[in-house]
Amino acid sequence: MTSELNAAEAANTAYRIRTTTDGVTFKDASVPDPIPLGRQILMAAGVRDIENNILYAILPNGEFEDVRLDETYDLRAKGTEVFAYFESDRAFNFTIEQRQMSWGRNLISGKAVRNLAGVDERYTIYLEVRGGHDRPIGDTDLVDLSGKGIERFITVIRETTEGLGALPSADRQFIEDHGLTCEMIADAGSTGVVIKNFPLPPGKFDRDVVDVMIQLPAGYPDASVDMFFTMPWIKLKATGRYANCADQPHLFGGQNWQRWSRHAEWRAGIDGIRTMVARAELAFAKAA
Amino acid sequence: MRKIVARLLRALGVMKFDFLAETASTFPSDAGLAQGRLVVVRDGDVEKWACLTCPGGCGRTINLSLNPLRRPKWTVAIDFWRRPTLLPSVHQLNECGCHFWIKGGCIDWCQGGRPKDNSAMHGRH
Repeated sequence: MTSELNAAEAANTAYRIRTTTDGVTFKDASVPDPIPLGRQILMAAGVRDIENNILYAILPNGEFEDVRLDETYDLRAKGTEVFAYFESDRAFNFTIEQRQMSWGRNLISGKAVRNLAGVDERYTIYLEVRGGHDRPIGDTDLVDLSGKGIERFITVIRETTEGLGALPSADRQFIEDHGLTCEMIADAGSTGVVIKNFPLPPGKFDRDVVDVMIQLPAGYPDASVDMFFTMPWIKLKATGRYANCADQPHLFGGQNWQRWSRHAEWRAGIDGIRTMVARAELAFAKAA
Repeated sequence: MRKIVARLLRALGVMKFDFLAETASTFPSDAGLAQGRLVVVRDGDVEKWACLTCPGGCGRTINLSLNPLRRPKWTVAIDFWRRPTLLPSVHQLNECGCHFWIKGGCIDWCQGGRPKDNSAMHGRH
């Protein structure tokens, strides 16, 4: 009983930290000392080969601070609780939003940059490219930090879209002539046109109207548009199920769309929103 | 110099504009964007971004990609007095929700695209 109490007390006074070595997974650990040595932090993280590791404290503002193995680190002073360590003798520096960060390997994933810098999902991370367009970095993309100069990342929130003025005039005319209400939405590297309250064949689905989204590829209207998407998800009334080839989700603009996998030839210079509206109407009419 | 003259001409009521353009070689920090400035990030021959503070008054930075191979995308043209024209319109999907064109340095609000309860911009037109 007494030993249990002591253990509980020790746990209460222990300092909780989180550690990572890949920037993606973070492990909980605790150190008994509020002012541990660097090596004690590595020990708490379960590192065996302590001498061959480098350690960084990730400060609450996201900056990295080098912690030497025999240097004491006051866990109370800066409110630090996250540490990154690498089996490496070399550090690669990069900046994100003007903040200095360090990494113990030459390759870093987009996900690791996102987690380390605390960049939320609404933002796209770009790698600054000198003399060229900045490159969007997805979670699974790897960036090589070993090149000349310090790599710089920037973040851009996805909340701005082109108005309908971005559409070719034939599309705008079609939308106006048919009295459609449209909205543009954006995702990384892509724009979608949402046609609001698109009428469905009466009695066929569990709703009468649905929003239809058409995703415009970069080279639209010459580049082909393929499938279309609906929100909310609709089911056939007769069967209570999704229509054939319309049961897969598609994440776009922070929403999970119902994907209608309907394909046809695309004629550059001829096809546009009109084509996709016809394709959707046909798909809804024939859905089974 | 040209900008000073442009501001003087605006003060005299001879010229109208809400935005003047300037170029920078690197992406500006949010703090570096004053109202009424549109920063075009240009590296060599490549125009990468157009950055401005939302004219709707919410204070957000709007970063527009000028990369022609991606969407959404915009183009910016700058006249002799450094007044920018931005194509197509800019539509914010956040709570501010403003939707506007910038033509010859002037904000042209789209129908329903002007934030209602914002006095900051009202005096400027």
